Amino acid sequence: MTNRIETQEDAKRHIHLGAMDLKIIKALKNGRRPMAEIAEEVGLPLSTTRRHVQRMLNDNAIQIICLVDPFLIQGHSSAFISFKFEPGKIHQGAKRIENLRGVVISALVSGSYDAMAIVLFNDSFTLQNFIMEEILKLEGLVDIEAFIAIEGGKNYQLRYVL
Amino acid sequence: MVHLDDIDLEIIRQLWNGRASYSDVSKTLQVSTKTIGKRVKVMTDSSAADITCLIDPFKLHDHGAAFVGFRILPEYRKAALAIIDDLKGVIMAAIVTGKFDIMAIVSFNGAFTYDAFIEVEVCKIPGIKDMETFIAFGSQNFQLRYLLD
Repeated sequence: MTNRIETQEDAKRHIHLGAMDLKIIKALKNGRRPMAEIAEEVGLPLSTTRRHVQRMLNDNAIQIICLVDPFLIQGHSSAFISFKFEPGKIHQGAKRIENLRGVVISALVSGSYDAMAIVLFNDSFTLQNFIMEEILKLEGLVDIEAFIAIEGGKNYQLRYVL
Repeated sequence: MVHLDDIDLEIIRQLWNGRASYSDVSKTLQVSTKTIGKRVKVMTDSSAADITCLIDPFKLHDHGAAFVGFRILPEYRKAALAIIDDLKGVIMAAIVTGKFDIMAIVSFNGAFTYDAFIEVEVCKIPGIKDMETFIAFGSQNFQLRYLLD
């Protein structure tokens, strides 16, 4: 049963977007652009364009969202955090990271760590809270390393997840 | 530099769906639609916020992404961050504490490979000592801006 669920999830992850989807995504760089303008730019009828966007949203392939620079909000900070798991617990651990409080983005990775994430903090949810309360939920965790962001580049804007 | 207050933060929360109507946001926050529009414009014009479309790169054929850690000579850190920000494929970067000086997320595709990033882009970074790449395999929340041509 578990295997069947995983297979369905895997299949969902492998839905591939086409050239027209990518064209629409590029046109949505400004996420509030009127759909009629997008349709005109990509050369599709409005209803078809809407359908493409809705399908991509439903598949979790895209998200149209307001990102924010955490350095401009008082009491907020963020960090890149790396995770190392026991060999048999890597996939399960990486999956759980997605649901930890404060996690903006995460992924299973190759290299000297097994997973990496960007985590957002504020005065009531600090790095200490993340370590003492959230990290404990990760079974088989061997080690973590935090790289606190002290200055963001011009594109350092994150989902607001707190 | 713009600093965001509690109302700005509430607006950002409400715009988890970036296409939510300002009149709905206005009703929830009890702030006029005009104020919502004005505040969003100030935030986006100053790059404090950005309403945009993120994409899961693993749902595109031939695309990938990685976390990259850079070690940079101390006196070059700020200059290196500015350059890294403008390198092809770089989604976001920040100066960090710890064993790396700058960390970034970088995206690739069939026409702009990881090799091209190393050979063509990385050599532009001033004061670079070393770098380490962690190729990402994705997750449910791994969605990035699309910056490749």
